[in-house]
Amino acid sequence: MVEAIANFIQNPVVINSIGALLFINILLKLFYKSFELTWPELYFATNDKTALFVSVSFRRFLMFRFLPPFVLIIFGLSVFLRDFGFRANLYVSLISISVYLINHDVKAIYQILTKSDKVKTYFNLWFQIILHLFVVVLMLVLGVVSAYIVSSNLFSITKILPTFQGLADNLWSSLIAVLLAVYFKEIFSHEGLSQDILYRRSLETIPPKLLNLIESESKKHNADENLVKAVCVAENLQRPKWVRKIENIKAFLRLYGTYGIMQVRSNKPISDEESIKVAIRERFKNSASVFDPDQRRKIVSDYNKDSRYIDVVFNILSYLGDFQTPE
Amino acid sequence: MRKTYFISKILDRFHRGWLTSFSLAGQRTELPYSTKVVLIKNLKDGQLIRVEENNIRGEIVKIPFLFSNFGQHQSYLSKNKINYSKLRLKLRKKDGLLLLGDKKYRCVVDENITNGDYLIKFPLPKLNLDPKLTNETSGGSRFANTWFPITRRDDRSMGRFLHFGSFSKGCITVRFDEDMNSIWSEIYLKIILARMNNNTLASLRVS
Repeated sequence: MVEAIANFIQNPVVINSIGALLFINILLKLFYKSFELTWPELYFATNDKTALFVSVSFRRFLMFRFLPPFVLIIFGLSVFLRDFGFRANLYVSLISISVYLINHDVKAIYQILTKSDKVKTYFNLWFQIILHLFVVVLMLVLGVVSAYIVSSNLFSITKILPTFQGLADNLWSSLIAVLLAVYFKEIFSHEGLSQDILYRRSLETIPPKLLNLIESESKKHNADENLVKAVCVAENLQRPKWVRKIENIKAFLRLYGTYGIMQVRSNKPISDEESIKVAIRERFKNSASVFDPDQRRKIVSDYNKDSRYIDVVFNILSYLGDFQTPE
Repeated sequence: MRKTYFISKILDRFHRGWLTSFSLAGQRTELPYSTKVVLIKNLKDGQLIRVEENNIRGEIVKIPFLFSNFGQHQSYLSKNKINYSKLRLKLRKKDGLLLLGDKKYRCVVDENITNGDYLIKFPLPKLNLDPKLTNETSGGSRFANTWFPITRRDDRSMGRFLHFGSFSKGCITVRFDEDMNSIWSEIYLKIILARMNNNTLASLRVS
């Protein structure tokens, strides 16, 4: 028995597989740790600038979630298991991804379903779960693809990436991890991550006709135009256009939910324009005459009770200029 | 029929009360919030306007759109009528207090500011400002880069300003105080929305 275990451990496939597993998972952990995100849930929150920046664009979201694990897995497999065939690569790749997924997306799904305090639901609950499931499926597919690329030496990948000896010699691993981390950190933390720039970018992505509509409807209903705009920008940050597009799929099923840029509750799909009209008429009417800070806060909390959301709205309002002017 | 508008939507922390315009010769001019203008023509990438007040009144300049995407635009111009106020400020040199309505603001006054009546003109943008002056979380104001020229009624020489900061030679400086709210924003908004005529915003009596 002991001899069998010793033989098993001394088997080069096992040693290299363990090495690859540790290597991939430690690097992944280090990479995402450098962003100081309690993720993946904070992709959807408004209280983390990096999360907001990532979530505003679907392309950035995909890049951030899939590219680093994909690159690191290929790298790890190539270093440790390039000579051990498809099966060994596949097992290690899938185990690494499973560890990664269990720690993040699967855990998040569990927390959402058990309504844990540790996780916030920022979208429609089921939409959020579906998004995590999408990540799980795509990551597993990428695991198979990574194993195939390395074992079949696709794109001459093993010539590009170092051997174990090469890695030990020139510390490729740390270099690439650091470069990747610095690169992503640079992308996600340049001046664009100042909150003001983030708010302005969100404003820029709102079609001008909607902003014009906010102005005319606010005037019509004596609503505080800047307060409405602040809520609109906050909603646009929380549910960027790509998220709203996906959410609209449920409209085909005629499900009750929140629709449009202002995320108005409705049992049928409504457009961005209609959501603005309904929100101003039902939530912000006569708010232009409300000057008491507590009452103004209540108007926003009636819209969304999350205290972080309310803070974001008032930060945006401050950015826009919370002044009584004839505009 | 002339369409009169005023420059609006620039009170956010991005614009800080200023809109950049370009003359037909390409010269850059900053227009302050609430400047009265006439819309001459909508262009593909902005609007051609004639400035109706300020020391560049009569000039035709081009302004961009505030937001422009999806083939739609949002303009900086507002049609809403402004009820400009008549504003008269008082400055008590002996205790360095600027009186604006029932509010008092602490100032540093240069000794060259003599007693008498002054006119407060359309503002000028101040470049290279100390960043702490614009930090709204510690007493600064987003409008700190707005300096109002002041001239004596009987002596139109320039070079004196009412502004926000620590001290400037020949000026009345509303004192920056880290522990105070953005007092300059209050003063700015009152003055910028006041008019005596198309060249002067308000008056100031120094005693």
